[in-house]
Amino acid sequence: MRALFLTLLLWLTATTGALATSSLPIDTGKVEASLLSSHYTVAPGETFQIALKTELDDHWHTYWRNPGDSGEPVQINWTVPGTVTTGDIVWPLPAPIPTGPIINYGFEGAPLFPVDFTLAADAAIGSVIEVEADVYYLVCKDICIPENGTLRIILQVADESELNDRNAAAIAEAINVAPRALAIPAAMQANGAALSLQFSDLPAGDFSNAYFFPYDNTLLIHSDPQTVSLGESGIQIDTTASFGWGEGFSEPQQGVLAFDVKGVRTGRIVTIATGPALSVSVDSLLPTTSGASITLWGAIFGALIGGLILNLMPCVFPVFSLKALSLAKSAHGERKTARREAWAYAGGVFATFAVLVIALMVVKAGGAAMGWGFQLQNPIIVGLLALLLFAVGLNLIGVFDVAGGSYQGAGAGLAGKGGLTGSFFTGTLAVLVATPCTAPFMASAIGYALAQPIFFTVLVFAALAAGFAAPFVLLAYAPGLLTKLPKPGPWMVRLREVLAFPMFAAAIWLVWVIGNQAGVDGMALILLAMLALALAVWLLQRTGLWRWIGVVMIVLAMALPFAARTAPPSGSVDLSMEAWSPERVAELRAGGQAVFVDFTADWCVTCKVNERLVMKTDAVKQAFADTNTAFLIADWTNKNDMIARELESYGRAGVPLYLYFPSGDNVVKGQVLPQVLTVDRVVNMLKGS
Amino acid sequence: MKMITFATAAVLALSTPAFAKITTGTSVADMTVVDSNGASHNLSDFAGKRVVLEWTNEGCPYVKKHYNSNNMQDLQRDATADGAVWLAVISSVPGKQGHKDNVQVVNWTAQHDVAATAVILDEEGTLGHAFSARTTPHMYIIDEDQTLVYQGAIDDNSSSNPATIDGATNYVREALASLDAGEAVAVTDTQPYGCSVKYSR
Repeated sequence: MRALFLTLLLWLTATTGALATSSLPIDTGKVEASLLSSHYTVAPGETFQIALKTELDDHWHTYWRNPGDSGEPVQINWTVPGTVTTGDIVWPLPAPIPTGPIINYGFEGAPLFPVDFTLAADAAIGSVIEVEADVYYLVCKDICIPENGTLRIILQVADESELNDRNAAAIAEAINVAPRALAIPAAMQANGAALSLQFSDLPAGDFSNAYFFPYDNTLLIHSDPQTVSLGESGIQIDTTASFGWGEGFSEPQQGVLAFDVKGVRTGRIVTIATGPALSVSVDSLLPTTSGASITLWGAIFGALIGGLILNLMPCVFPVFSLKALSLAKSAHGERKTARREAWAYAGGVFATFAVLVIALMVVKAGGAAMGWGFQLQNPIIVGLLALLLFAVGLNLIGVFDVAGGSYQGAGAGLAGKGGLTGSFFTGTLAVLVATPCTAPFMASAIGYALAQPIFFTVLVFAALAAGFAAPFVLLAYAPGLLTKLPKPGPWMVRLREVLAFPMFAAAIWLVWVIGNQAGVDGMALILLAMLALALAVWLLQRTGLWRWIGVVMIVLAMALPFAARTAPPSGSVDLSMEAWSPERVAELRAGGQAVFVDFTADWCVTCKVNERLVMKTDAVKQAFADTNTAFLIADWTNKNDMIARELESYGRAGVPLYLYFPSGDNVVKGQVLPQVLTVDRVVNMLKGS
Repeated sequence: MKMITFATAAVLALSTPAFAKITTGTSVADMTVVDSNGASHNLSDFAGKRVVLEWTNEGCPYVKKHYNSNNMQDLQRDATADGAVWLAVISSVPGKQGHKDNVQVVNWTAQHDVAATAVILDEEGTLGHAFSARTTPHMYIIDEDQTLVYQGAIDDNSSSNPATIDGATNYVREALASLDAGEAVAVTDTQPYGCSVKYSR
């Protein structure tokens, strides 16, 4: 019976050709599986290929050799005659497949799994090669189904081999695009939870979205993002180590490094040994992040929300709320006017952001290492801002009025003029006073923006501006909102006066910043400028010559900050704190000490809040003492290229950044803490729990 | 059979960033969850007892492997007879495979003779995220001192074929035996296998 069956199949081979070099497909449920053979007839001693072809239903996936967080790999159990030796599966390049927080490595569509077979040189001509494959795969979408089946294919041994061109081409193509071995220097180091991998002497391609798929499923946490830093001579990938490191990896590990070649995802099988970090000079280029980390859309969304939140910041709120009230005034008059004013305000916001971004990009293009908040690294600009806030405060409290003295002028007078120009400059003013307050979660969006091509930078900042201007425009358009605002009245004068005080407070803070930047002299200079300004606005209320003297005083006030010079830091940091330098970090760690680095700046509100509420608490101080952890401060109050570069290497464009290097390890990158700290978090980290 | 429903947002004192893995050896004493009635359940309520956490999903083939063969129930019975608290956790969101309401839990436990101390309905996935539970089954053992001493697979054969249970090394059984003997758990971390936990996206 079996002989008859084989004869029948051979006859089919002879008559129908192509059909017989492919098995009959079987439908296992979500998958249609079949075998493809590269050959009709095989000559003794020759190598041929048979591939398992799986056509998956839409959106269902099967798994790579390391399935990731869950799942099970595709498995093939071959039964072949004694004259045939079976090779390994040539795995296609997998893709990371996210399911909620879980990441799997697998395939969708119709992946092909080619396998090499070699026929013995002494195989008898005319005999048949019956190949049987028991296949098993877990196929998943929302749910998982294990499917299996048996596939058969029969080939003939002949003097001369004959190819099935179509199958051979399909298999050759699959093997061609599948990851193949590439011998390049590669090293990995785990330090606690942090895992760093370096690859150098890379082939041509775009590695900004590189991803490493390890063969071993205990090497790294599949669901954690892999952060890629591009270097001059290679790349570094930073991610999280998995429990396999508990016992370490004595043998070199293999895996697939995926990257892009002319827009096509490509993989290479690389071998990585545990050992000292390769130098790939990552300092000089910007990092990019792949995997589950921030995307363009995420950055745009973050910027939008960040812009919205900025409206609530203590320095912006007075400007915003007074402008809103002046809009209410218009609403009681004419809605059209309100809308025009809202757009003028939005225009002012956009224009100011545009100027800031252009300035930032020009400076960056000039080679200087810059980040967001750069405006505040120059004592002259800080001085002018302090003067501006002071002037706004004086205006609010009623020392002088620009557009008439009555309550109707409240708000409109803020930026100097009423009407559309006034609204435009209110927008400008709002952005200027907002810059010191960049909300914490905007930091990553801005960091992302600055590390991207110009087009994306512009997009993210446009989103920031849109978020910032949105409440105001909304107010003008939402029909109910405007009329809900309280009717203007004498109470507005009181409110206006009250709102002057946050302005004065903000001005004091900026003066303190100048004190740190330019020393006591610089601080005195700005205070003098403020005096001149106060005198000037008082004089401006007079007439004749006095008025002209007032104008001169204003010019003098504005000129004074330009005399401010950056002073060297006074060096009066707490005994337990030291200034940061990469060398000092290396030195301390070589001595076996854990190191904590605080990247901060006096103009950074988040940094100051963390400092007051967390870093200076007794619990944290005690934890530093108990664990003998060195506290290094990288002060970015003034421009500092070394600090800017270090921030960049962590994907940041600004402060705060908190890094922790545990003792007794030689990891390259520190652990990054959240930008908003808690006492528990810091203490637990220091105590290693 | 007791049932605990964690319906509303549960608050975890142990904050874990993103989906980072909880480290074996971590104390879970501070881990609290607030249920829909506002009552807070703290894992320290179980101080002095051994706690086994089992992530489950009735429809998952790998869970079926261990339930249809009674392998899981036997383990549950042996562990609870030994004084352990066994919590079977369902983190499937409503509408996804494995999700159960209270009535369905009663039916399921009766039908399969489930011997867990309690079934936890973790619809929000809060407990799942706190433990970084990735697969069903995914097993965790917490010792009497509230320290996580084992996490990972139930055994060393990751197939969905029930025939592979015989001859497989059951990590949970081995860990519990080590604890009984007053020894440290030998294998503390293994790669869990099975279906992904059906969290919301």
